[in-house]
Amino acid sequence: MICYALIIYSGFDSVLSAGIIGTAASFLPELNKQSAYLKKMPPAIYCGVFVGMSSAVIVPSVGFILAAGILAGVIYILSKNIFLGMGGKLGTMAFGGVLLVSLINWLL
Amino acid sequence: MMDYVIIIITGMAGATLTFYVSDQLKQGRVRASALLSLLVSLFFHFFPELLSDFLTKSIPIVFIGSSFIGMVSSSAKASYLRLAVAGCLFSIIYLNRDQFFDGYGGALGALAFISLLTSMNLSEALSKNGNLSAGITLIKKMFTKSES
Repeated sequence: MICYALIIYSGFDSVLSAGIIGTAASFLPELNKQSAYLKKMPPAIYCGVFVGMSSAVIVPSVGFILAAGILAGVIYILSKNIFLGMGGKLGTMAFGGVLLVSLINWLL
Repeated sequence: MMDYVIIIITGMAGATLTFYVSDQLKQGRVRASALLSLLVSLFFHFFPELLSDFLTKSIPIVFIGSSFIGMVSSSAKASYLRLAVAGCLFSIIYLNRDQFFDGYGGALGALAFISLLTSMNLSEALSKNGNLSAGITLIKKMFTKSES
């Protein structure tokens, strides 16, 4: 959602917004190096950033982004042990979330 | 034509640089991808007139997409050559993609995933123990026998 907001309200392009939030998220584990929870946050946040990179043409509202982000998160949890270490997996999950919400939106 | 070559080089650079930063410089996959993509997009944000409109728009997108390829873990038998091939494949797919993917978040990641899987499976198939390379060797022998 932060990525989407950056794109819409600050005028940054999608790559710049994703880079800013992804870089910031990658420093989260430094806040508490003992925390296993914080270590797992950057990939999940980066996955959400990809959802937020959707253009306003595809994503008509913030609720859409929220739903797509939640779905992408569910897919992320369900696919934890599939294609371990493969690049592009996070983006594919984000794409799946956005696509599913688009489909539901179109059906409704 | 030159634009396409630059895009392909960008794809290869994105994949290999991200893997280098995450694996050799031990910065982590997310930081490597995000930081490098941020630097590239900032460069074109401040110098939009340096290259053509097409390249100014496409290079950051291709770079971040191919950086997803570079986010592969080192335990997944990734080599720089495989990543460069995957990056090149990604650039070609990106240049020829259908308009369907435009605007969808994560579409770049999906394309990167497809490119990486294709590259890794291709290299496994062409490896010394693969059936494909054995078949190619057999065909070569048939032709060399028929010539002699």
